[in-house]
Amino acid sequence: MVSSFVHKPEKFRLEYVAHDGSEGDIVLMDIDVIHDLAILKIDPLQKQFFSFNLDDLSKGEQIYSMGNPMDLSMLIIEGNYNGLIQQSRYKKILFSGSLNPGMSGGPAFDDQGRIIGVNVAKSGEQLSFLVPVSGLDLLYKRVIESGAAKDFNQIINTDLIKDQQAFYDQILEREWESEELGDVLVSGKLDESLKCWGHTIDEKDSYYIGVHKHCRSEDSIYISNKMFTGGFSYDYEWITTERLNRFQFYTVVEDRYSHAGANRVSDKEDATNYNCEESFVEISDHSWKVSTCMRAYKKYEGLYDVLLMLTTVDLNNKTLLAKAAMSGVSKENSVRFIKRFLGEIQWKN
Amino acid sequence: MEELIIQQNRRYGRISEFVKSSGTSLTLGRGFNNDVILSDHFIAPEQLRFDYMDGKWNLKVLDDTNPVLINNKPINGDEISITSGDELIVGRTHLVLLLSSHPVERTRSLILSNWTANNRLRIALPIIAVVVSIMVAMLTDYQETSDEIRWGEMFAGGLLFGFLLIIWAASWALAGRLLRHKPNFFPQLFYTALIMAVLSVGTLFSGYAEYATSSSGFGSVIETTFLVLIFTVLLKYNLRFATELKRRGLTAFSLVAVLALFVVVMNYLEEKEFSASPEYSKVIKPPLAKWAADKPVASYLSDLDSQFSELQERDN
Repeated sequence: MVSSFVHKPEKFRLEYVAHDGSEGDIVLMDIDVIHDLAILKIDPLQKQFFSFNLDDLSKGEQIYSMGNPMDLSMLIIEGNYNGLIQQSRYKKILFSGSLNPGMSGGPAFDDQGRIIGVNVAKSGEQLSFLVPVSGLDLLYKRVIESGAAKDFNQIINTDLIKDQQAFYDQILEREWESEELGDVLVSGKLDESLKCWGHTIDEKDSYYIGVHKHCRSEDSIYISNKMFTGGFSYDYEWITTERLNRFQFYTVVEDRYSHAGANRVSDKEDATNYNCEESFVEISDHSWKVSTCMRAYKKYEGLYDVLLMLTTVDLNNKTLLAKAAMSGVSKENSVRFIKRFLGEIQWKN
Repeated sequence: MEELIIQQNRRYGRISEFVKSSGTSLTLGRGFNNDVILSDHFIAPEQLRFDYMDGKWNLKVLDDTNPVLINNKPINGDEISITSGDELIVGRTHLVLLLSSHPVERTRSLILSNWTANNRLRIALPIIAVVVSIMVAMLTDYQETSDEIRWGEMFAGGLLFGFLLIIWAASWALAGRLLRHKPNFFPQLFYTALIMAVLSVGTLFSGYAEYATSSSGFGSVIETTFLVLIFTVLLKYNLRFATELKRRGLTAFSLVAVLALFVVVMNYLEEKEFSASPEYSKVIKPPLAKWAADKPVASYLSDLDSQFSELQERDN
């Protein structure tokens, strides 16, 4: 709701309805698009309010989540604090209670009534996520210091740039472990927040074998219902054949040769069309066809979605097909990443 | 002495009627006492008289009720001299005036005219061509199959291909029957089969231009040119056996080119302004297919930089 107002302030208005039926206007003070938070001010300010608990909680502690699910009524749900999620780019609390749609944005508090988090999303049966209150506290302090924000697009732009800078710095400043895949050495898991898995395609009817490795970030940043960003993934496929001749083998490679997807952007007001270029590049003494596609965000300067895909084209019966997709990345970071990604591909000899 | 020939009703290159002079004069009109009798009511009973004098044939208009046109211009005055090939319009009848010295084109030879006359070969060769063509189509299909070969499907595909060849040849044979009173089904089938076999092989190599040059624009130009060429040749033979058209190559090319242009324009107009998916070249071909040497990584990375700048410019 708040995002609709941020993107089209001329079309939307923010209003509240209190528990006693009174209504009033809302002023949007500040937003944090990364953690999906916003600070709203109502007039007159209420006399009773929650306070924050900024201390650490212990696992298993009883916590309560409050919200207005499906506009039915105010509800309080009990559950447990299960610590922070490991595989996540952003701090999220795992709550073993069942949030329902409509409760997002509602508070979660400890048994003393102090806020420890904000409802975000439901992950499964009796499993939900909360944004830790520390993020809310930071945002609130910013409002106290700087007052109401004027240019929300600028804030989003700055936050997104800062966030991707931190993410890519973290990845690029560490050692990348190598893993074997067929005749090649490729990169393993590049960040704790990524989920990686592998599998082999080897059906008995198939004349070729594909060994796959995938890594992707489970997080994405919601900008509006037509635009998400912050995605990151990379994949490798090692394809070999013993039965197919070279024409047939390359038909297989062609079939598999399609770019991974970036986060969804479905409005032409939000991003340009993709610009793609193909070339043949020499990497690790082999000949590769490399395809690079990128599109620019129209409202957030300096941010792009970048797609990379490459495959060897000088062998008749085996190939490595590698892909990477980065959503909401700066030009410098994408080039840095691609350079490193290509450099880490080594043919074993 | 040259004789004068008056030619009428020339349709599709087949001369239906002509009258040849046998002396030094010739009369033309609606009356039954003329040498050339025409039943057009807009022609006078005694309309024209042709005379041979001083080595030339001359035309004299005897009745001025309706204008007489030579090469689309009305005849002023009474008498003019005739050049071989002149077109004469009297009343509503169109005639061509020729002299016996008029040059004729050289004889055209039917390709493989020996075997078209030989009845057995005439039928056997096209059938062999069809079978060969089906096999080539299936072989192409096989080369592009990357998983389990489904023989049933492949044979069905081959048969369908053969069926289409026959339908195409039969349609042209029907046209030939109507236009030339001679269907020429077997020659049509023969050439269709041969040319479509070439097309099948060509599809194997389609995409090579795009792959080798890494430019999908160039690739589609080459592909379109190849298709236009193949279909021009096919249509040329179809027209040869079905019609009496003289400039068949040009006609065929024009038809195919117009169609190709139409398709290109439609595609262009249908292009969406905004696409959430990237558009890139998906063609990968076996080794030895690309021409240029590989770029070193550093060069690729600096090209990346330019690609970003290009994006900014395009956007603005």
